[in-house]
Amino acid sequence: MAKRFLLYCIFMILLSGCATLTAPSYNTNFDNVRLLRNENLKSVRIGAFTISPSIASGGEKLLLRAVNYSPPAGNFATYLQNAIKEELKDARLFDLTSSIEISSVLLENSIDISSFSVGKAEIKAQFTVRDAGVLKYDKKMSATHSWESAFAGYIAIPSAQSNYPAVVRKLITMLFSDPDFLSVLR
Amino acid sequence: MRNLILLFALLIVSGCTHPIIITPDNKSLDYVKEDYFQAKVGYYISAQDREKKVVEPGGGGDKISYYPYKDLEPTLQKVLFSVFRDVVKLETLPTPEFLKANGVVLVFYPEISTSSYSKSLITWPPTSFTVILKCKAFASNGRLIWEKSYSGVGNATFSEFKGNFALAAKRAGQKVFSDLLRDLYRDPGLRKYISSQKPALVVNLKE
Repeated sequence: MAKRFLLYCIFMILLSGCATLTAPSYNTNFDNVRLLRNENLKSVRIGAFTISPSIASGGEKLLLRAVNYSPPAGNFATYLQNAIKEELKDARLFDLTSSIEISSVLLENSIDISSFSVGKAEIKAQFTVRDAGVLKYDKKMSATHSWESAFAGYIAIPSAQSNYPAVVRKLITMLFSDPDFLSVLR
Repeated sequence: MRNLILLFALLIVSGCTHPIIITPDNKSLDYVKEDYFQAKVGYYISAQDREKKVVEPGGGGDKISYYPYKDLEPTLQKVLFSVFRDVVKLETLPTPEFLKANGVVLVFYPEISTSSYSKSLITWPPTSFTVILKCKAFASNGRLIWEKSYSGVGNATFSEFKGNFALAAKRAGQKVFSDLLRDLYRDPGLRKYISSQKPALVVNLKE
C-alpha cells in the first residue's frame, strides 16, 4: 500500500501536461456495416469535418488527469471523419466520385476520469448531408460512454486511452441508425 | 526527458493488474479489392467465451487482463465481412432449420487461446504475446467444410509500447487474422462450396 501511494505521488508530481498519449486507431462497428449493406444504399463521399469555433476544449486534444491525449492525426474532428470513412469503406459505400457528401462540425468533445471509479467520455457533432450540393440532412447528435476507472493513474489513464474510441463508435451508430439519414442515401 | 519520465511512471510495476485491449488495428487487414462472395455466413462465439477474462503475467510481477474473444471479435468480423457479403453474429448454437430459413450457407466457429510474456523487471506491458486461432466452418447441414489453425507471435520493445501498451498483443492478433483473411479468400475448397450453394456473383468493389 505504501509502495503504491509513493508511486502515485511520483506519478502526480511528474504530471506536467508535456507527455502525450495517442488515441488508438478507430475500428469499425460491424453491426453498422451489416445494417448499411442490407439497406442497399448509394455510395457516399466524405466532406469537411471541422471543429466548432465555440467549442470550449477537446477539439485538438483532451486531458487525462493532466496527460495530453491526442488523435493519431489532425484533431478530433479528423478522428471522427476517419472513423466514418472507415465504416463506409467496410460497408463498400465510400466513393470519392459520389454526389452525396457527409460533413460534420464537432460541437463538444470531452473525457473525464477525475472520478476514481467511473470514466466518462462525451461527444456531440452536427452532421450534414448534401446531394449535388443540395442540403438533404442536418442534425445534431450526442453520445456518451462510461467505463470502470481507478484511483491509480497508471490504470485510469491507459484505460481512458483505450475507451475513448467507444464514444465515437456510439455516435456513428446513432447517425447510421437514423431513418432520416438512411432515407437520404436510398 | 520529462516525457520519458512521465511515460515511464505509467509503465513501472506497481503490484497491480493492468487491463488492456488487444484488438489490432483492423485497417491493416485490408479487404481484397477484386471481389467478395455474395453469400451470407455466420459465426458463433458462446456468451461464456465472449465474457472470458484472462489474467496473465506482465512484467516485473505485475499482471495484465483482457478479454480475448470480445477483443478479437471485431477483427474476426473484419475478416469475414471482407470475404462475404453478409455476416450474422449467432447468439446461440444454430440449428440446420434456422440456417436454411435465414439463408446462412456457412458457420464459422473460432477457438482462441493466448499467452503473454515480459522480460522486463520494471515495466508491465508484455514484450511478447501469442495468439492461437483454430477456426472451423460447417455447412448448414453440419458437414465440416473447412478448418485451419493459426499461430501469431507479436513482440514489442519499451520504445515501441510506451504509448501503446498492448502493442505486442495487437501484432500477434494482426498476424493471425491476416493469415485467416488470405486463406479464406484463396481456399479452392471453400470457393467451390460457396459456388455450389448458389451462383457466386462477383461484386466489383467500389473505391
